[in-house]
Amino acid sequence: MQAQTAAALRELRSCVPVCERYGLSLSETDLTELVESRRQALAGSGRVEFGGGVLPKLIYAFCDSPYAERETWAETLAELQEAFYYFKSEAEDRFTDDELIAFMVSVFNGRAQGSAEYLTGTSLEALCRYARQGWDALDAGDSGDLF
Amino acid sequence: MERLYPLLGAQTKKYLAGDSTSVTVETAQELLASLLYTLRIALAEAGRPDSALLTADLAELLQRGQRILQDRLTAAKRLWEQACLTAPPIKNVFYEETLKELGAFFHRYDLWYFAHQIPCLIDYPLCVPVPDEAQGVSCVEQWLRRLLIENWLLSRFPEQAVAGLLAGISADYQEYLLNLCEQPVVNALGLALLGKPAHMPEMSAGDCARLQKELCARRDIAAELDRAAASVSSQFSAPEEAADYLRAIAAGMRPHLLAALSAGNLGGVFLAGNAQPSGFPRPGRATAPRSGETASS
Repeated sequence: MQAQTAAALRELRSCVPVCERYGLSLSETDLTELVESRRQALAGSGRVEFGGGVLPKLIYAFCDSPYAERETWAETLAELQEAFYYFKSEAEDRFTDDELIAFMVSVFNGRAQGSAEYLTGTSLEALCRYARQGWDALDAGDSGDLF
Repeated sequence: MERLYPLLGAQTKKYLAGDSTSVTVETAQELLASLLYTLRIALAEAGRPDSALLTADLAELLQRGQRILQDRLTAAKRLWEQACLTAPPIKNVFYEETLKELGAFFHRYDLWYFAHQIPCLIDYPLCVPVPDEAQGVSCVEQWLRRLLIENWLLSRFPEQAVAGLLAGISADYQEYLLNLCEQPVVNALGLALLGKPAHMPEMSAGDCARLQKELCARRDIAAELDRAAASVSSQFSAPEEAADYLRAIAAGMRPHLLAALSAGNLGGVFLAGNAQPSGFPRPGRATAPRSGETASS
């Protein structure tokens, strides 16, 4: 378990320069807290992870968002991470990581206007409902008010 | 568990094929169960105990286990084909549906990630059920071997006689969850206990009354049943597997026979020719069906 935590920290540390390129920062404390919140998010959503986790993908996907702010970056990442694992399970794994992240990014940068709360409270809930009902991503008439 | 962890991680990664970094706890548990099943198959084949998991090269053992499972799957498919070819002419929907489901098993079975699962519904009850702990293709293999023996045993009796006996259990036996082989074999054992030929499994009320009297006088019912099984085996020129199976059926009869003897009514065990269809299962004769996953599922 300690080895997994150390590996996750290493992987996250390698993402810090990417964040800095967009004026965002993650301190060593932020990294440790993010790894801890990952553990809690996984346990809370009934999931298991063997690799470094989804955080690096979330960092790469959200770091260029116009709504990403230096002061709240770590907090936003923790919220997005928690939402990601939760909705991954809620959607019964019907979306790949990349599909779910792409959806999160488009809503976060669009109608949610940077509000992780809006993203998780409305759009992701609706997406998961659609996913469970066998929603066809290619059918425009079936997309409801998701986009 | 510490030794299995990297292997489970690698298996999970392969299973996810880059689509995801995480799996649900339930999926991880299934992947782990599959891993353990496959490793144990490889150990059993090599005649090594489970404790060898602590020292063996697990990745190599997993590969060997998967190769063994592939061979077993091919062998099991051959058994299924044989079972289809030797199926009795007597119709029963549960028998037919179970055979169809077992055919689908070979398409659904995932030996790489869910090797311990039995992705089909096995409703038809065998005379001697496969132990509950049997998993994956091993369970299907055992199940089919037993069914083949039952098919063989059924083929020893005249079709009309078997159909008559089954109609004595339930008029709509074709739609009824019952084993086709059990009653004919039980009656054959009853006849063997009386020293009569077993090929025609029809007993009369007089046979039952005589058997009641004779068995009450005998002390070791288990030994009597074993002797009856040996007699039926010899009359049928049964191969070793079938002889063992007959012995197992006879041993399974003992508690029912003892209860029937003390109640003074062997009608609950042997079916006499003049018995009327009841439409209900005969007391103490129901065999629990065994269902697949999905079970695991």
